[in-house]
Amino acid sequence: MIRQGTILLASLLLVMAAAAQPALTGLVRDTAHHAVAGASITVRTPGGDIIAYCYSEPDGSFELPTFSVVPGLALHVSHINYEARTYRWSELPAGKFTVTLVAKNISLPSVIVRSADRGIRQSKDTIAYRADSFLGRNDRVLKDLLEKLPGITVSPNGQILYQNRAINKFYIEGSDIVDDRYNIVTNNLPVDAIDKVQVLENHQPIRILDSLVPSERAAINIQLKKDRRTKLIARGVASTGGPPFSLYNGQLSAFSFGGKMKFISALKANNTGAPLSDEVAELNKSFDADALLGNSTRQDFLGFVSVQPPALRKERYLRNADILQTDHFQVQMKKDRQLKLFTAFLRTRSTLTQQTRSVFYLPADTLSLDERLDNTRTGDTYLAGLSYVQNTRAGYARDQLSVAVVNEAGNGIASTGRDITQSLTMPFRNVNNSLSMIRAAGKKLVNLYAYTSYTDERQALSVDSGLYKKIVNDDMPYAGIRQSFSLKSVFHNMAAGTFFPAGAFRLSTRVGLMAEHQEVRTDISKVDGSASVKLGYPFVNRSDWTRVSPYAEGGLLFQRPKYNFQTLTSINAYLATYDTMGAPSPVRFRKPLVQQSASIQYKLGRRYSASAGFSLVNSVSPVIDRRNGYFLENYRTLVRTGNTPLQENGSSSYTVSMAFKDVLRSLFANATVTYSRVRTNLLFNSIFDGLSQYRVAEVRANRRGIVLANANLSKYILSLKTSLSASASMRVEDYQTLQQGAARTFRATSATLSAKAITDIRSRVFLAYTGEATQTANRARKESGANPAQFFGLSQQVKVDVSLANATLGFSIDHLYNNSPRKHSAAFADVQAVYKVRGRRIDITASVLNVFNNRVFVSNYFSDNNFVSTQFVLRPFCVTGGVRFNL
Amino acid sequence: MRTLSLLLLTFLTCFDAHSQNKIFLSARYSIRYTQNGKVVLADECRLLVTETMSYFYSLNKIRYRAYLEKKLAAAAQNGGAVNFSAEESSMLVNFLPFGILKKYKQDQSVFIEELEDQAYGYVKDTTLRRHWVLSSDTMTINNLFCHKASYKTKDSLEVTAWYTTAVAVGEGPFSYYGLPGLIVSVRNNRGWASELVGFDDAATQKWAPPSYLPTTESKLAAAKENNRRMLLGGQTSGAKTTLEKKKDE
Repeated sequence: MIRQGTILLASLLLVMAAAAQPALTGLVRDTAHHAVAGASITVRTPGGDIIAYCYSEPDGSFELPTFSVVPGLALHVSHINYEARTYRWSELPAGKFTVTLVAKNISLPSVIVRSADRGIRQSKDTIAYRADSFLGRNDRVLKDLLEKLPGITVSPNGQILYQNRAINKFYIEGSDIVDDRYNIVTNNLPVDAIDKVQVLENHQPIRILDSLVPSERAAINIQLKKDRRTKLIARGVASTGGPPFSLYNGQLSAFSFGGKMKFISALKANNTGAPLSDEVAELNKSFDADALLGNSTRQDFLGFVSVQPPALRKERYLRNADILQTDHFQVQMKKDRQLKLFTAFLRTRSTLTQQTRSVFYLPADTLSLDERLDNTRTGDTYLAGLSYVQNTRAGYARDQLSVAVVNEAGNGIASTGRDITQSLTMPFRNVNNSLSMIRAAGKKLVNLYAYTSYTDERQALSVDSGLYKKIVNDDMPYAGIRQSFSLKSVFHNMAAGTFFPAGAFRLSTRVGLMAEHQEVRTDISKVDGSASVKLGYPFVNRSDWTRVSPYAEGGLLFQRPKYNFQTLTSINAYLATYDTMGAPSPVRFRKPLVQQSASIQYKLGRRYSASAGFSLVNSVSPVIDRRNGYFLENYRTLVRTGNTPLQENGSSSYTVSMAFKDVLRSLFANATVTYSRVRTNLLFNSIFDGLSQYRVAEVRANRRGIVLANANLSKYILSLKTSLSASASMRVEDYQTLQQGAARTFRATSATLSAKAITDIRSRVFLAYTGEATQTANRARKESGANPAQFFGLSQQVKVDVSLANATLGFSIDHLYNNSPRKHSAAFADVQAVYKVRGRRIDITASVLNVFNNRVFVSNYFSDNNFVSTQFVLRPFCVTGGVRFNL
Repeated sequence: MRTLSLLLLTFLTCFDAHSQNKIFLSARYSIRYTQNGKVVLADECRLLVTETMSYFYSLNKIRYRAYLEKKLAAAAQNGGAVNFSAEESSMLVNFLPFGILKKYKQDQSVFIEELEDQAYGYVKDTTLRRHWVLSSDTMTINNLFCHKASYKTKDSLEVTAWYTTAVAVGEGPFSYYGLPGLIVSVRNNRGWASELVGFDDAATQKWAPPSYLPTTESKLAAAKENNRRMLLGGQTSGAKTTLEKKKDE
């Protein structure tokens, strides 16, 4: 029995071996029938991978080892002295195979060695930038390094972009400790602890989906130096200055990435014009649809009249007093399971003083308004997050609980001949929980998702002026007005789906349910002396809104090594009921909404990649955007939506992009063109009376079309330690307005060209130039010539640092110019001296800011068809001194 | 003692017959040996490949030797003593001390090292074949598109190599051999690393492999130790003495 079994087993093994043993034997010879020894015989997959190989023996014979056959294999025979030959595996004859090679002259590929110490290396989808190759003498924190790396840009709010796309993850030593609040690392991690910055291209952060679902976005991983991985890394800054000691800046940050518990802590305080709210900002929030739908981000429904910030460093014009304490902890539980805790306390105070002239180009008239604005805002923000993450190739689970409590208030004075005092309170509470799970079930993947958010938001604006007296008080004078607003909202989204890989195809399905309940309460009170009278309808609004939206999604992905195509269709039954004052009865809204998207990504070799896509989205604006009744947005803007239907939006977007990278030459480039079109059923009519603006919604077709094109190029010259980058962008937008009852179509165009060069000459002289030129035009399309709304703006900065022994002396000049109707040119100078003690560890600094003692700066821009020119009051000449250290 | 050592080695001597070979590849590699994060050896080497064998040897050694001879000749002419600065002293030892001759037919690699004016060779590897594990990882190194391969040995040696099929020669620096193309970059976990930095136009030139006295690694080590002691003025009596001395230490 055993013998029979053994024979059977042996036979079975033989049969199996025969099936998996397409070993080939043969002979390699030249055209004169001489044996060719040392020829390389390789078996390659369609993707170019070598799965088996051997060399020909002195007698020309060869024998390939066994391997498993897959479709599309090729046999490649090559020798340095002969022309290479390639055969399809399926075409090879049975039995011994003879290859005849034709002699050739030896031609060797060119070897280009840039430096023994290369700055950039690429291995598959990972590009590694070696920190030491890029660092200059004056670089202190990770952000200084990132700004020099070709292919990477850091936007003003700290968001990191690779090839002009925002990154999807930020890792330190492979740990996602800070989620997307990574400013705390980029602004504080000392550069001397960094070994490499890695870009993980096409990064799929969920491991179980890796190689199944492609991603267009990249991630960043920071590799620390070996000797710093297990040690505490710390950085501190302390400086003061002024007019004597009125300015302060203190920072202490600590990082620990060794062991099972990792943490990042920072304590910061300053009044030097560097707001600390950016340090805890979630930089990928805009990609999170549920966070937006669930109102988990505070929205300012009320506020002071504000203008766009000028193209100046905030330190020049912002008066602030901020304190931040933030901590991130990550505890490694079992392998690939982490528990993360995040807490932050932020106290802010900011004061802006500005003199603004707004010019309104109206159909029959041009009106201008001068106002002086003194606004102060204060706030306490408490943030906390607790999350559990399990991310393995076998499964994915993540649950995150987030809490946000914000108590913000403000006082403002607007002077338009007389002072109008305003006060603002804006408390905000949000709790949300998101749960996501993916598990394998046979060949399928099953996913579950649940998101719940509760928001309580109350805002109130008091204005001590009796504006809109005709509307509010039967054209009789009165003392003041108060607008209050409250929103309570519960949002829930849950879904379950499957993901089925079938060869090169991936099929995904998902069904879910979105449910939402909102209570909006708004009141306008008329204030006379100490008496406050709440006005009735239409100055009051009570909207109760309930929505249930079952939805189904189906997706198809076709993935090949060089390209992939994916499409997603979603159908959403929008079933809403709302009861609002002014409406005769509760309104029921029933409508199917369709969303569709498709995209294709193509890799054109190792250097080029291209993608194209479109998306069609039908949506309904939430009820909070549709406040039936009057609503005072700021002291001079009163809005009334009226009893109009819900705002329905249909948008389509088409994008084509291309990226190029040559890692060897440190050259990166990309270009993107996007066309998007939005169509809604409401258009607001703006009626301006010289001071206040009254806007009322009208039901009529409202279309907006935008073309956006941009191209970016960056290059690093390693031997010269020089970073060069240039970008060009153009935006053309067509939109409609209703002004004083007249419909107008506007076209706004802007073109921007910018360039940047940073060089470190022998680590002794540091030169940096940044320049940006913008041409802006804005005019009614059928009234060309009637609107002089176009101007040219230029912004430049030159920075020079000279180092001698342990001392560095730096100068910087900022130059800003525009030729708008309120032409303005300004130059700013700063001087800084740094003395290094104990190498890079301790710096003693002294700075003179605003050497030319500029007191004001004029910033100009167009917003729709309004020209806004603002004169900002600047921080005068000041001297600061301090110390900073790294541990 | 020196004579004794030489006699001992000469006892085993048989001159390796060699003939001239046509070179079909001459490549230059940078090599590094790192210990505790410090580079202790940085050299430039050449790899000559013929149909039947290859030879990997230090170029810096040749340059330094020429420098040394020039300095000695100058000293002899002027009648003065030869003094070396600290920089020169470190320069004189900062090269790969041995050449590696790979013989394809014999399937072995021979390490050739000079002692005084005589070259000695010992067989280090009796097979050139390694159990390379090919990977699908690719990387561009110095403009060459490379594939990854690696192997591990029982004594925990880990080697990672990147080879290019653009040069269909299964050769590489040191004694690495047997991949589907020329090794462009290789490093092991014991601190050795090498990378291709260029090709020389030496194709079709004739080359004769270096002649050497065959010996064994341990015997050569003993002879080197004897030679060192002799230079220092001590007495030696071959390998046994060396081992005993080591034990005493």
